[in-house]
Amino acid sequence: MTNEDEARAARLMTLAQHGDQAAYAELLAMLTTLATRFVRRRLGSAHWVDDVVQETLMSVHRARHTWRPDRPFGPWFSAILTHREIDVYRRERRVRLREHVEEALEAVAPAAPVETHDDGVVDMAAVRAALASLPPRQRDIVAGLKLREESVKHLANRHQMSESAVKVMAHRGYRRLRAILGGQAERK
Amino acid sequence: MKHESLIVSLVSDAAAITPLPSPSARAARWLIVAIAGVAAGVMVKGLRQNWTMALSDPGFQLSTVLVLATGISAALTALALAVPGALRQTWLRWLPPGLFAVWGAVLAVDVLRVPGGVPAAGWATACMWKTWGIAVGPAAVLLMMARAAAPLDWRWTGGMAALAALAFGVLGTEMICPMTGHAHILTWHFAPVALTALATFAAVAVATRRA
Repeated sequence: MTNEDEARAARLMTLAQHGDQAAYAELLAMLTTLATRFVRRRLGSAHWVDDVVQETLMSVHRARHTWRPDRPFGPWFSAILTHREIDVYRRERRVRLREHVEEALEAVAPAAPVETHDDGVVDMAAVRAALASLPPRQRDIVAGLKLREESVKHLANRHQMSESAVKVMAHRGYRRLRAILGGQAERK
Repeated sequence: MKHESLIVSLVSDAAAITPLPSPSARAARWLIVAIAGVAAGVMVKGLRQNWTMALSDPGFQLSTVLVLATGISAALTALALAVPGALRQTWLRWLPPGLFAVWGAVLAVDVLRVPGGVPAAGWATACMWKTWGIAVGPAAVLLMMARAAAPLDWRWTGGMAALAALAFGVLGTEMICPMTGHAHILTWHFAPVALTALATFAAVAVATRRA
């Protein structure tokens, strides 16, 4: 952050703290540019750059009462940005790890027995009943990805979530479905 | 969600706000709570009978200074860590545990220097309960104060808040407990504080990782 950026951000944040919404919008737009540049320089074109930027903006919003006009703006903003970058990176790593585990599990146990009849046809009634037991948002995400073939990005936009959060919710949904359908199979 | 739509939604939610006072000003307010907690504990349990003698003991004076310094610096660190970028020197977060470790080292050296082998510490869980009892109120207040800011690293914020409150808890215990044996103080005053602060740090680390 240059001295000019620092002075401008401090001035805009002071105005924003007094309730000036135009100044706040200008500040957030400026921080979006700064954060995108910073994260791209460190992560290159990783697909979660936008997640880091958006989570940083939300954290700035939640923490804006902790910045005081007598303190420099740069270190305050950098601390938030760096932490959010680490958080998103760790979450992405967990999602990737989970995806690998899920793929490995599917390779070992290709199909839960309840999902097919003896003739190999998927028992959609059982799947739909299991789907109905999921919370509404999770149900929509799982159904969107697996039944309606919607993209993660599309679902993320619709639910106003990050793409990583959609993936995490979908994987939790799959696990729950597997548990429900597996339990039914055992009872049969 | 596009950045522009997020900015629009954040701006629409942005009312005027009052900036938080500085961490040092907030720590000063918390000190009042902590001192009140110690005073309440001493009033309930009674001041130790050998208080005048303890006050003139250089070992007790050193302990008191180290424990007070630990409590004040830990509270300041917890509240500074709750404000993004306020604690820019990473080494500063090691100061409170360092001060507390010095107290432990001084006690350990005194225990080892006793002629005729290490003395028994006895069984005195009451001191531990006193420390926890005095610390619980100030700890809750300090955690609420930290939460009212925006902690980015709850492990350190929580660990420091626990250490600050427990340091004042043990300060109260030192004013109540008439035992002067260093083995007793090391085992039943120092160790519970060190272990509880470490356990808090670890528990918060696990909780935040799961979240």
